[in-house]
Amino acid sequence: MLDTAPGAPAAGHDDRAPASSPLRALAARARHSPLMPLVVLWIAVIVYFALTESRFLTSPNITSMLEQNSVLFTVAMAETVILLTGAVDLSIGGMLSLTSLVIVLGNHGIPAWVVLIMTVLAGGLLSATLNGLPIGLGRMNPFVVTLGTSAVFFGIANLITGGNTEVIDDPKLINAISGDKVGPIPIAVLVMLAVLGLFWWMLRYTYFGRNVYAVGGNPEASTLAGISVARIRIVAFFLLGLSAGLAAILDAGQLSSVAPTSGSGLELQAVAAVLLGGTTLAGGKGGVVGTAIAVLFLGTVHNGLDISGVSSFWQGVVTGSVLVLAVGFDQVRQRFVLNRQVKGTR
Amino acid sequence: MPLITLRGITKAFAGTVALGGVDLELYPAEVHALVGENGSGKSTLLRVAAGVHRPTSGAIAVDGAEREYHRPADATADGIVLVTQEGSLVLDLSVTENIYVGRLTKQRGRVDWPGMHRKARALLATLGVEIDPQRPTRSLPPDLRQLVEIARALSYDSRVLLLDEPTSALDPQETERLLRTIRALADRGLSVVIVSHRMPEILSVSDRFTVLRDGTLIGTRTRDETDEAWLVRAMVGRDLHRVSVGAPPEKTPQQQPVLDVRDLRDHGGRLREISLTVSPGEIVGLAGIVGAGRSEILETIVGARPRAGGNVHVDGAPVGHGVRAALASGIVLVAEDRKQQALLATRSVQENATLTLPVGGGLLRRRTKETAAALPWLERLGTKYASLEQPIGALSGGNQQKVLLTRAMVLSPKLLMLDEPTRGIDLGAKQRIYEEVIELAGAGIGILVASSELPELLALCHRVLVIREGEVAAELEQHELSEESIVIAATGATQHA
Repeated sequence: MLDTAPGAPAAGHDDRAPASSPLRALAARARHSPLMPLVVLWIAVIVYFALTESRFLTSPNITSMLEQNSVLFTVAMAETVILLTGAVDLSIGGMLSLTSLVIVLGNHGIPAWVVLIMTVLAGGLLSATLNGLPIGLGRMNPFVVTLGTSAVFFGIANLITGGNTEVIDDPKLINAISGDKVGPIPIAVLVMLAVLGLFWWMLRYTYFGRNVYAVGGNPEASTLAGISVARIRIVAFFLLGLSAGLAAILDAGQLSSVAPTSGSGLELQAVAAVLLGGTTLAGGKGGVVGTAIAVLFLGTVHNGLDISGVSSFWQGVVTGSVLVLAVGFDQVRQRFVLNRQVKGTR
Repeated sequence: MPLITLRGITKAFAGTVALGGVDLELYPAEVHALVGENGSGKSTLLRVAAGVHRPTSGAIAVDGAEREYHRPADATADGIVLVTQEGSLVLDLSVTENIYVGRLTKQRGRVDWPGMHRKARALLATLGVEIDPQRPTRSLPPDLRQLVEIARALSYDSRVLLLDEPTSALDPQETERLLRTIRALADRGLSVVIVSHRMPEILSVSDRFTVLRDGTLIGTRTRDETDEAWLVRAMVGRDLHRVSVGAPPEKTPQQQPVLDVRDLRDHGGRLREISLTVSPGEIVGLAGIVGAGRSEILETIVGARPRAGGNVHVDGAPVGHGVRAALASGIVLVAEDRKQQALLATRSVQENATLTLPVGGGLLRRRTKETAAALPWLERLGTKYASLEQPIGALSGGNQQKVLLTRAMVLSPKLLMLDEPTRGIDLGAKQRIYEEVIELAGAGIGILVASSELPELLALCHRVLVIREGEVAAELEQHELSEESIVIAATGATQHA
């Protein structure tokens, strides 16, 4: 027995050796990621529903869950950027409803691709001018501005349609927007992946992305470093509008119709997902990966409850509770980590 | 017998030892200076004494009896009160409400306002000030706010006042008044502990001195045994030679100033037709009391505050409006308030050091290129950090300031503007920054430095402009510079008291 004693500390040493393999480094980073609790919770939910509902972990169900969440997913990416700049947006639902009406122009013989580009650009222009300019150049409070424009957007959409749902009846257009599958993967899912990849890349590898974090983290410091806070916020709202247009197309594709109310409630779902994903209301902290996980987590919960036959009224209760609990949990955790860091440097 | 005895206080945070076995005795009727560089453990020691932190080991005794504090209220009950650096006043509440916050006395279910105001007024009078206690705290100047904090601390019938950097936001006159009040409190029998970075003021007011370095006790001495040289050596662990700038650069009549400001005005009306020049290689100081407009001048020159009139030329070429134009023409400002105006606290050292790049704008980030521009400066300034990806918020104040100086220097500026360049940083970093500023001037950069620390201006500047109420009240050449000449010009006094 005594012979093994000297060997024991050596083995312990090996365990504590620095993570040399990239896999270990990744594991170490993941362990310290603020997203870890959400991922664990998500996996727990998946495991629970997989064990209780046989239909849950099937390819058709997963596909339809993803498709159903593609609209929220797309706008939540851009909403993340808005929150990162230290602003907030409540108009994305109205924006989606209003821009979706552009698609109906396709019923009148305009080529489908032109209609789609027009839809996306219309969203961008609408948001950049009516939200971006007052908030960026006018330095108005984003909450107030977008609360106002939200009502205006919904109102105009209702005025144009008389409150009615418009059916898209041009077959070519329906084909273009409802989209086929590429192999087993629906177009909507590819769009989600592309949007996530694009925003992730942009935040990480462009100066615009760096400046988004800078402006949200410390606007005064950004100004003194020559970064235009107004410009960054206007561009952020332009991107939000583009995503609203894109989401409007995905939405219309699933329903083959557009309605003035199609985006109602989306603004709060989007902000909730962004916050759940770890981006803060104060700005400058967070990212799109967290938002993506949050949207999929919420989608999984709703889908599981649906399959289990739980009343859809419960879904709001669940979403809201999870949001408050998750953000509350995160704050407690942050206070703990921050305390440790601050004290550690003293 | 000492009022309070701290024995063998050790405090560890998540494995880091902030204090290692520190002893401290506080007697009634003394001002006790607690000095040390940033990170030496002064604040932690005060917090242990005030019941904010529980010591990992060690004992606290009051009047010879062992005590264990679980929360600040326990220490307050023993008459020990901490006044923190950050300030804890609610600026929109009245003076009375701030002093008695949470303890308003009631009569028949209603707050007894007249009685409360009377009590507040009397309490403030014992501090030698007359303030209308109904005034909103926001309307008070910084030193009176500090007195309100002290009044609140006294309102707990305290016997021990722990003051963490009470003078850091005050100008020289305000500081002097506050120090007199502190002295008077001690003479009345209170035990006052004061933490400060400013040597002259500590030396002028304190009876005993305790020096901490890296969380350990270096020593406690009485005033008779102490001089500035000993304090500095004990704090830093080595001798610091005094930095001093040499003669101003030779001026030839045909030489163009690097910065030429004419009749500068801002929209708020704070600045009244400011004109000034800085020659290449010249270090020009801006002095003046708090609120005189020093920072506003720098911020208007760099374009962060809109220019309402006048013009700015660099090397004879006019500079357009806005920060971008200023940066492009070679003007850069290292701002006064690190936290509020400069740091991206959660972002990396690398990102903070290169936030001003690229000057012309760009799409794709070039981290390697940025880092290549920043690294030589970070090294030259002796910046200490674990990795370039470390959040800057984890660095000490001095190292943060060095990163921010790097942020300015990567632009290769022609005119470097520094606003309070050494506020809240330790002596070692302070000296390194002084040396660097003098070196940069030697290389031909024009430097404009605003500071409320007179010794700083005297050590660094070839010329000082004294600002009073948004105007250049006096211009002092190097041979005319002294603390007295600056104070006289800054206050408009004819004779210094």
